[in-house]
Amino acid sequence: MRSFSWRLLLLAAILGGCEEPSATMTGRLAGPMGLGLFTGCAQSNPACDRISEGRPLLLISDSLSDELRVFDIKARNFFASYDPLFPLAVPVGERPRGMALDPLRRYAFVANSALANASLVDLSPDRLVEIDTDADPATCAAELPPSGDRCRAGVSRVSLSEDPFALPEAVVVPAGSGDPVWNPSDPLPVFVSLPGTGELAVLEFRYPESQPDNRPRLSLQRRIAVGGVPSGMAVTPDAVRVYLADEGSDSVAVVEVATGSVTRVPVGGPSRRLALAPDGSVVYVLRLDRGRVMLLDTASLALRAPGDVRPEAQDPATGLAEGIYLTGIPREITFVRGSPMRVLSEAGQARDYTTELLTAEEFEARKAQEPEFVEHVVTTFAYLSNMNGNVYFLDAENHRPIDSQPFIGAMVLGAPRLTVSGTAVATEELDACVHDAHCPYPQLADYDKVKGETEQRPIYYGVWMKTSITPTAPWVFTWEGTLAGSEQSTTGRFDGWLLRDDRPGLDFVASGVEVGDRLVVTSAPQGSGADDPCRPGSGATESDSVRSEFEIASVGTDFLELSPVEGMAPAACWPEALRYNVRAYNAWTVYTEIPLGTPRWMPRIHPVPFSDPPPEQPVYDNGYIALTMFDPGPDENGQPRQIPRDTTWGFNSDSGFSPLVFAPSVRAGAAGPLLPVDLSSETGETSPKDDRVYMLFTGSNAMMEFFPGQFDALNYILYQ
Amino acid sequence: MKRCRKAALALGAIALLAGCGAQPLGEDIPERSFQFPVGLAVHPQGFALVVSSNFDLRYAGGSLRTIDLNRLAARLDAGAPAGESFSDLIDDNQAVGLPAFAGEIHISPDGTLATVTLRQSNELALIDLRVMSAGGQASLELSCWSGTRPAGKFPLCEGGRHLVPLSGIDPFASMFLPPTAGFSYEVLVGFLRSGDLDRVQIPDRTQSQDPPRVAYSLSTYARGVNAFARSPVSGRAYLTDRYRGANANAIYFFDPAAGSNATVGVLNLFSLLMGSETRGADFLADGTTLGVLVRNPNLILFLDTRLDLDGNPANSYQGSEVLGHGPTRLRRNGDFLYVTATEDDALYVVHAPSRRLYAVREDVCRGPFEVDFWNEAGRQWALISCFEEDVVAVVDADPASPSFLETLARVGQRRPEE
Repeated sequence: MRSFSWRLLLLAAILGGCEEPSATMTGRLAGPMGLGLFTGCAQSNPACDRISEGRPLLLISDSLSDELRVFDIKARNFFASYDPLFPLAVPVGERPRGMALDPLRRYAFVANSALANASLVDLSPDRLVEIDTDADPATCAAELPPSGDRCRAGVSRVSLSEDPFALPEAVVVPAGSGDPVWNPSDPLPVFVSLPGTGELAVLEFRYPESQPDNRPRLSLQRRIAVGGVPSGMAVTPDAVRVYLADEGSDSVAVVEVATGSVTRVPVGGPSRRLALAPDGSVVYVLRLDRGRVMLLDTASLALRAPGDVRPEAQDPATGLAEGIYLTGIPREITFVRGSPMRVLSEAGQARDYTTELLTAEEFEARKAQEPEFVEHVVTTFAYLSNMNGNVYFLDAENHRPIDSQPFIGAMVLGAPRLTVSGTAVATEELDACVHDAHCPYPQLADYDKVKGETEQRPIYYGVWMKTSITPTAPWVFTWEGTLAGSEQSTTGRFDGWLLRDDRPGLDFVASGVEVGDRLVVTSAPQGSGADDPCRPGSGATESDSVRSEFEIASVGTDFLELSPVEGMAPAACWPEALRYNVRAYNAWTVYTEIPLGTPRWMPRIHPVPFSDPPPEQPVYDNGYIALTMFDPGPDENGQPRQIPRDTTWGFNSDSGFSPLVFAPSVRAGAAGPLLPVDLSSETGETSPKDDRVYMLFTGSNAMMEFFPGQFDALNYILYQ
Repeated sequence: MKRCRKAALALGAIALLAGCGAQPLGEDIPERSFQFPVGLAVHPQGFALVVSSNFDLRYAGGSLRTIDLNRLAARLDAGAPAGESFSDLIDDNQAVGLPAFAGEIHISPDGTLATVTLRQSNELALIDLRVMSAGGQASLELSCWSGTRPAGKFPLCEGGRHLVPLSGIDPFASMFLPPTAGFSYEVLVGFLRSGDLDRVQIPDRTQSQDPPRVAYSLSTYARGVNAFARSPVSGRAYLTDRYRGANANAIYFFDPAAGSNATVGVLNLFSLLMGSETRGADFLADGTTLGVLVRNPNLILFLDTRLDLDGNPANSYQGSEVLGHGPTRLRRNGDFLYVTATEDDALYVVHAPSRRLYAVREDVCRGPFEVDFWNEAGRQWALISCFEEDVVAVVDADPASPSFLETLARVGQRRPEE
């Protein structure tokens, strides 16, 4: 475990972005999971006066080395042990996972998962050591060697559960309020989630000044059964209520601390972490199974929709039921205050992100009516670390996602593409067809228009896009295409002129099969010879080919009744289970990534006769996109042209929404806890480098330092 | 670092030996010992089959030997002295010689056949297994050769029934598949230097005298196959990819029942969590949750592989848990997932229901690679091939035991640490 690599030091030095760090040494991080900020002394001056000489220090829990590390933010150094090649280690219990600091930042509470107990760490400058929780020097933690220093010092730990599978996860303490933020005379509740037993452990910490012997105490008060697999937590500043994410159910638990009552609030899926917004009105719930952040209203204990935003800036994938959409899986969240975010204006210039997001014209119009009006620059954001190492930003004042280009809106990416018999039709040929009633190709109406007549309903290339509604998705229309859910099944069998298929989950009706559609059998028939029951009209009248396509006469959930064909006996041709698919007849099937069966699913599209000008209202409008598809024009003889089967129209819709994200160039994944640090009080002035955020890469044993005022893929420092 | 150098040496050596068709060189294989053990599988009747790879080419080849676990258990119950090597429980009388760099070993579900991938000769060895009793002692007969056992040397597998030429180079991973009609066994084989998969069919000898052969090869976009896993519920087979491409960290999956027409799907994990390669994989007890080991970040990933309405695995992310350096193999034992971490010399135990790290055994041995289990008569043992220590570590795998994860025995002659 303690393998030292010079390569890691070199990596840290090389990846220092715009600043040259002072000599950094490896922290030998091993599964870093907890991050805390406190004020202490430089290692070179352990007896400093914390009030006047103290400096910000980070405390990091290493789950795989059973220790804590201390990082000097100003010096950019880990505290070193007597051997300068090794960092200072503060031993705690086995496999420390969650960690939290008291509101006064004098003590750390560490949940040790291996033996389901909690450690208490004194953060005094001249101590930085695990201490006794019960003020009884005669006892020590059972797992400590009896002859060891810590046992002789009486270091004991708080047992959280007798169940070996409790596996404590997270620790939270109330932030308090006022000055001081917490009265040390008052007991401080400490909460620990126990995922293995579905409980919340409630501990009580008593500051030394509240005790006659001036010794601190930490003890277990009770456990509250919350069910599921409780994981991350958030607690109100006054410790009245605790929110728990649940990895094992589709809801989160809300616990009223005084009574122990538990309320369950559905959030649509399992969750891993959550956090209370600084204004206290919303809990941000990070889903475990997909890129979603659910917003839980703290007053109503119900999900709420994200805040309003101009339509062009609204992510259509985000809504009440869907939450806020993110790419990838979010892991941890923190809130950062003080720095604005930069987005692109309608002119493509950088501008501050505001609540109102007005264009220059809109702003002037508003100013004309309200001369004192100014846009509100948002300075409170949620930072979310992601499994892929990126950091996403959300507006934590208005509780909504942020579009880095908020004035663009939905569009078609490139020109729609027509492919006939496997060959793409040239754009120039399609251009020439627009007003041509004899066009040999099927057409999307209004093909030549780039922008529609009205600003409210822009049209791109013959497809009407709906700002804030149209998602980013591919669209493929296939002439007489296969109906989804019915292709390449291997469990269909003929029963006379019925095809039956009892494959689990198959539903012909739900797949949209209609009377008149075609069943296409792709398995080879087994008949042969003159009296072949597979050949239509065999015997008296020979037919040249074996028919394998049949018209559907009626549709059931698990069967299709076919129109009989004289001379054929399907069950004899295909006596065993067969492969087949069902194709729409004389219509376009629709493929998109919008799930089949959702209320806005687009049905099959039937072409309409050409008209010039096209109809004012598109024939098909599913609320996402709208379009009219014309028949091809008649041939030279005035006869209707046939559209070759599997002709396709394809295009990509883009929602116009691009979430604001910081994507550092480092190849490290499984990003974890984040912690903002504001050093401006230290320096007495504000500079971009005084705002920092520290983020752990739990799976890559690294810590990153980056700068909210200067996001750049290369602007970060990586420590290992 | 040392292992990196050995790996480079090994690959180079394979190329040289393959090109020259050299005869086995080197010293005679030492008695009752292991030489860079890699593959390990436990026969349900209480025998551990251990593949020695002879990784430094010091000896005249690799070997397949067995450890009598029943006798080991008896000796431990009787109070064996600390530090004993238990070498006498390594059965040289049944040992079989293998080319160097032999890889994985798997035992058929009925316990009558073992397969070993032979990297040097690009073959699959098929060894018949039979439990014999003589004088009250049971032994496991390994049969893949004919004639008289040569004195002082291990017989080599021979003949079309026991050596199947494969289509690719550097076979390593393998897995038994449900056989199709007319065949006793079918084995899927993956290669370390390509994404091709060979499907080997072994005819039912009561019905056919045809030799085993590669029925067909399936192409995937993997650069090298690390491990296989197969869902007992959906039947889908999954394989992990050894060498990363740029911005790619993929696993692949297909339906073996579709035969040579199987469509191979790919799940690229890079956009989800970065990562440089995928390693071991195994299914949890529900048969649909797949655990996959990922390196950098070092973690185990959980995927829901249940089939959707279209019959395709959903492969949706279900969570992850951080591990130490170099997670290599993943094996399930009851409600626990065991992970060998070759770079950390550690064994990680993940509690499957909560998907959380439950226990860590540091310094389990040097270079832990493969792990398998023997659960019999109230015992739960994890057996680990210790690549750099030339031993098989026997570790208590009973979570309820006070000696959980303690080493009960190290079988073999320990290689001194360099």
